[in-house]
Amino acid sequence: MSNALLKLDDVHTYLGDSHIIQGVSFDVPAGKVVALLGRNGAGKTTTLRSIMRMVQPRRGRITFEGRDLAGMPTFGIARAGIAFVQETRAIFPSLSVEENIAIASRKGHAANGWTMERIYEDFPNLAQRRNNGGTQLSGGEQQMLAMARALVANPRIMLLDEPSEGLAPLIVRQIADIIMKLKQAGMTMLLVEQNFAMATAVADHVIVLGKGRVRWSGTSEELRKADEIRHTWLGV
Amino acid sequence: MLLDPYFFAEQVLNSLQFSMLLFLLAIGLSVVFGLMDYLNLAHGTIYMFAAYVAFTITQLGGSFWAALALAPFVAAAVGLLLYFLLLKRVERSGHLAQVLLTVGIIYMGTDLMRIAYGDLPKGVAQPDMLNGAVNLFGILYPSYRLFLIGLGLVVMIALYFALERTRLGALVRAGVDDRATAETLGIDIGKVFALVFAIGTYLAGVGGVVAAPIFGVYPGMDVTIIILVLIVVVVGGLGSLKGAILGSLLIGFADTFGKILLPQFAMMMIYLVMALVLTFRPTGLLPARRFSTSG
Repeated sequence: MSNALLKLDDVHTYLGDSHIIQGVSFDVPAGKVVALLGRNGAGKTTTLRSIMRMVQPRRGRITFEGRDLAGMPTFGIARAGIAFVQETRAIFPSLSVEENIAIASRKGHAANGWTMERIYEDFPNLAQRRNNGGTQLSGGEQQMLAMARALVANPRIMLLDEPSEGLAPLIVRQIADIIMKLKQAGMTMLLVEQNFAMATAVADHVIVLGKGRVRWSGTSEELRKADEIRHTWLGV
Repeated sequence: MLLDPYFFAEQVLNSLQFSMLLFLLAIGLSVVFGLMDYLNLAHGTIYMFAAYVAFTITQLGGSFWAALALAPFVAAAVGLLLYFLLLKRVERSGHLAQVLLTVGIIYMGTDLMRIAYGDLPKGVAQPDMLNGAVNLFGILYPSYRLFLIGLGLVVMIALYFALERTRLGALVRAGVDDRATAETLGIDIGKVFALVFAIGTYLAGVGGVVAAPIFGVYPGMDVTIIILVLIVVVVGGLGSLKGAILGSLLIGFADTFGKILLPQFAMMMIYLVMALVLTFRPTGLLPARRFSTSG
């Protein structure tokens, strides 16, 4: 794809001696949502952490807007326009809800700029609890805070690591709605999910990871029909 | 003798005054350790260096106040120079490498001061306006020592507001909580750290200047204090302002009262406090971060 915003080319990452990512290549085109699916331990989170250079890939290239990310510090990658919403949500316990958002706020790239005011309009729960400690929130609110924190940096792309994990079905629907709205607004996203239904509902393109390699890729529609792939690599 | 209320009150004031001095050093060491996991034992060298700079300024005819205004900046500048030239190199090499390097700096610092100023202690005069004593409810207490207590309180309050109410403070707290996540939000923690390091060394410099009229200026004054400061940090808990305040008070009081009650075993009193705290609270009394297993 020529309009790839983010491009991974034969990326290999080790954690200690374990070869976790074994030559992964894929593109995330601008304005699209790509879902990265796979079982536990398939290397999904390590792929995202490799993009952010929280772990250093040993081989391969990761480019963002055509620029090689090798040698860039994590904060530089974030400033270049990649926001990462971690699986653990990673809310700062010593910071209030407001401070959690404020320290991430940046003009960034997007034309329709996200500001604190707009965040509070779109996430009324967070507005109500702006002075609360970050970790006094429920799991769903923490997820929304983590997404809000990513949005105020006005990124070009968001990496979402299992946003639905551990949340009640009603909350999962709310999170899915937010992701849907962002997609309609043109936000590019790379979504890691265990929730097959949610992921395939929002994704334009799906990549199936298994044991550190790309095992399949195609549209959500195609994946629903590919019984064999789903059974072998996803268990659904 | 502790039953004499005047004597008791005077010792409480002495404890407070010593606690404030410990605090001026402990806060820098604690936050640097909490934020970057960096054990900088040469923090005391900066304290000693500032005391010598203050001595030199007063020798050249400058006032104590001129020394207090200038010497901490000189100390912070030397601290930053040390950081970028030497300390930064072992930032990720673990505590052992950091201890080896910074103990090396302690030896070099002591010898350099010895070569430049000799072995004998030097004096820095108290400022004239603080030479007298103040009558506090019947106790005559030296003005200079009261000034030290006041200075410590002002620094504590200023740091509290800086840490809790400013953007830089929020960045520091975020970095202490979870450095990796702060970086994913585009925050250059290395830069935040350099700034915190500079503020910490500045305060150690302030400590060196204000300690000079009381304890004198001599090679080795850094080692004497850094051991106590380390105990303060361990007892208070890493990376937190409240921990540094509480730890300084505990050790300041234990040291002062230990010297009165058990003069032969004064140091033991401090280690006893540390042993007790660590038995029941291994991470210290008020650490900034609960050391959990999650990254």
